[in-house]
Amino acid sequence: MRFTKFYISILYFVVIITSITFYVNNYYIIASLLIIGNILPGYKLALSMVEND
Amino acid sequence: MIDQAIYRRFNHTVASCFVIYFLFPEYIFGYSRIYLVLLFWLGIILIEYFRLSGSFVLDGMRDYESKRIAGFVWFASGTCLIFIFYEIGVFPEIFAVSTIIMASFVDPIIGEFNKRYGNVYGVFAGLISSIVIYQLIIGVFFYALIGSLVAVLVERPKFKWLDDDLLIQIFPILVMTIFYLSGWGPDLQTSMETMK
Repeated sequence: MRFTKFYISILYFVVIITSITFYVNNYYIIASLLIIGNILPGYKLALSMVEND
Repeated sequence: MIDQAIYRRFNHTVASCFVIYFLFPEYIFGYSRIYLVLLFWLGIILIEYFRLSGSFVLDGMRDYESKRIAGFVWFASGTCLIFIFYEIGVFPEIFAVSTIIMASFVDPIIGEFNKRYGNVYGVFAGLISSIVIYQLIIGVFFYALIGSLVAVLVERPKFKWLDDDLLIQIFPILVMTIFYLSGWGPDLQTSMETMK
């Protein structure tokens, strides 16, 4: 479980870094899609982890 | 225990970040970036080999995946195939980027709608979201429609030894590329640069 939490935190990090990278390279549509597409499952997963704790 | 279904969905949507590959320099430390793809794919195969041999247990796996190749391997294989065919000049960049993002988001959307509202809504939700993603990235409705129809069609059938995570990537990009290269489809800007 500890590894899974660590892995999930890496996933959040990857989404943020990738979106920022596309944004600063002026690919606004791709950056927005990455954020919009990941925000709901990311939020639900965070909620699930909080409830689990 | 975290919600396994949501964990699977998030893993799926995060796969959209694979498109960062297109921002990598062509050569990394003097080696072509395609070697990075091969290295990544080998890493995935290695993880799957040890998982199937029982060396460790991964969270988020479905029950039926305990004895067969997991969805993440199929998805990674599909993405790596797209990268390879892009590098050898077969798939246009704009199709590669849009298909990877579409497949990452549409498969979980179809799954969620199927579960909550039934298969018909799943198909429609998949079709609409796919058209929106393709249209936003490619900007040509013809390809958005063709790619979306193929994506939704190949997502439906279930095969034991071939997963929809691979099919939902390979078939739409293949069909769109055939239309584009044959001249049956309208002309378009194939580089991602035009999105700036």
